[in-house]
Amino acid sequence: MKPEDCLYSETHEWVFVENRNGETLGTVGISKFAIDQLTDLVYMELPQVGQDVAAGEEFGEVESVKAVSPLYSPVSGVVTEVNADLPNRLESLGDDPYETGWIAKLKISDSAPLAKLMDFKTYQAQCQN
Amino acid sequence: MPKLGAARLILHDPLPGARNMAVDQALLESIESIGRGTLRFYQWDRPTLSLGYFQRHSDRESHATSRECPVVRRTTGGGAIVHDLELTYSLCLPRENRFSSNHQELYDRVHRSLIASLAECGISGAKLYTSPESRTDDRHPFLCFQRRSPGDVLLSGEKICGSAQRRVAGAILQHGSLLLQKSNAAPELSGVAEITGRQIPWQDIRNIWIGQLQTELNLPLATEELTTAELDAADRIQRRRFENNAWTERR
Repeated sequence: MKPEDCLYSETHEWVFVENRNGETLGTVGISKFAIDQLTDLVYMELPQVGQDVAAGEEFGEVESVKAVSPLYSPVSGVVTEVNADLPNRLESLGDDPYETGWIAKLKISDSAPLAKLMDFKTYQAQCQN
Repeated sequence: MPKLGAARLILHDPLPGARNMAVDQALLESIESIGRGTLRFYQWDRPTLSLGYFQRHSDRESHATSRECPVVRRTTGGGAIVHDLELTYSLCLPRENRFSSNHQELYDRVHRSLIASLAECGISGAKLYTSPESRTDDRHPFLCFQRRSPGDVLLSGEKICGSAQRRVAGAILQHGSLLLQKSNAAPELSGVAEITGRQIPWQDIRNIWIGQLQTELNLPLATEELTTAELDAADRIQRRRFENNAWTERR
């Protein structure tokens, strides 16, 4: 995934959306900006495969410098796959948050929340404010 | 830091651990409806072990002197704390960006206000720990007060205050402990009394700290009580989460 091809939530999660065999699939992760702000990620809890999440709902958590932050799903759908090894190599997450740093893949059940997400350019502008 | 607007000050008598954590969580969740922050000071009605959110419950077995203490799992990060002869605060503030670097600044500001408060009590030499923390992993000590993170308050090289946070969309909870005196449940840790040879009443430190926090955070405070909605929320959160073994032993 290229960051320019992803959509972004206000809470700094990204999603890459693709259509495959008539289904809308989303790959989600945390933005490079957010990872840089978090500085020292030490723990991550992933969502469960099969978990049904709504856009804006908590679907994982991270800890950095004694601060725990929930991760919010940018889309609504069912988790079909998680990046199970990711919590074991968080120190390298900032090197490549969009390819090897994906958190989960979802089958998107409702595309309406996608309209509320930002494109790369708009998100970049938000980060600079 | 910009002016944050008036906040509530809530002072509580010692409470059970599950209640203390439930009240802090209720305050975090009520930020949106209340629309302003809350500073709370409290203590614990018996020596209680709190685990950091990601710590393993079984790790408490490694700490023999606190094995008989009741245990709660916090929603915040960091290491375990034996809450006994300490003064605890929590601060809930509205936040637009939970990933903002201002969160380290919040640790530093609250802790700087404590250092100024201790100086006002005649205890000088407390300072912020500034060396960068190495990556936290299982090799870290079990107890928070045996770890060092940027912004911790040290006195004569001993950690006397540490804080932790939970950041959610729109709000942040930061709570922390000032170790006043050595606890029999964690005798390896010295408090302010052992380090300085002086016993300062906790009420004195608390009252001075409130004033220093108002100045440091530019946050006027008005003493209030929990709302009925917050009390109801705290009851629910206490029952479903902090008194629930599924939560406490989730890792």
